[in-house]
Amino acid sequence: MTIVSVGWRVLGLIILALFAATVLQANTPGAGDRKLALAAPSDSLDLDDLSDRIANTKAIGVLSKLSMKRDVDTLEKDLRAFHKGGASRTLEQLRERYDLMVHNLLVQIQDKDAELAKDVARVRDDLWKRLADPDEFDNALG
Amino acid sequence: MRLGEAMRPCAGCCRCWPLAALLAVLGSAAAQSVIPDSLRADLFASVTLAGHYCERVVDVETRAEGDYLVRCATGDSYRVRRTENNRVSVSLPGQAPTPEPLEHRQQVQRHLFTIINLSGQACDRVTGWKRYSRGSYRVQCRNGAVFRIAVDVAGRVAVAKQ
Repeated sequence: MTIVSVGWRVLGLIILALFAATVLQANTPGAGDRKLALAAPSDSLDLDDLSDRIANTKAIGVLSKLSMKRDVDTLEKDLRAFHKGGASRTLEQLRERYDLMVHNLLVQIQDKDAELAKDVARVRDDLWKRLADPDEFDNALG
Repeated sequence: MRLGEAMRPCAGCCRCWPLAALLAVLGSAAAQSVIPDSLRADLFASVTLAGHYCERVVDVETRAEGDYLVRCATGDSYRVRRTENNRVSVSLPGQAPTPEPLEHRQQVQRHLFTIINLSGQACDRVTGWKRYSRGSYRVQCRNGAVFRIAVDVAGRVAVAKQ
């Protein structure tokens, strides 16, 4: 599995979509058309649309998006370990890091892309529920 | 002092230092102006996300595509490079990148540092923090600054200096 496809699956949830889409756009023409295998959240916000908007926002530069991918990868790895029962982190610790990652994203976009920031803030709790649920996590990220 | 006087060769105690200073400032401004704001912001964010305090980017040297030497107002320079595997490597020239923090506490510390600095505030190093509730912190920095990070009802992240 390539780094790109791993990244894309990891980003099946908003924040993660940010980074992989950047990679896809940069290196794999046409691959950005792939859609996330996730149902829309209950508040009817279109995740695909939101992911595209995050990927394409000019509020964050390409290098910054790739820099943030480090934290995304680490969180994804720790969440996977948690769901497999071999984690050294508690769910509360993982939630704290997730919240701070979203904070990091929001401070970068909220003044330059306010509508996007508002929508990200709106779905953040719903996304965490998906990450915290082992079945949903598996379905989303495999 | 007239401009003509200032241009005369100086001897001994230099009377033309104000002009020299002015030229230096103008030269520096000219050098900075050629760096696109978007690139400057992107490099600043990359250095900050790597856990380094930059204050602001004062100069950028492009070494190759995706490979930059960034000079910060702190006096430190960093090499910011996009690697073959689409990572971003930030390091002091000639040195290996700083290892990523592994402990939960270190990771939280890194996040708090980046949130404050990417919000436009200045925190040279996070030395302590208190978590009040989910997403709400009081953060102390080595430079003496104290910040309150919170999320308002609209979902915006507010970073306020106290």
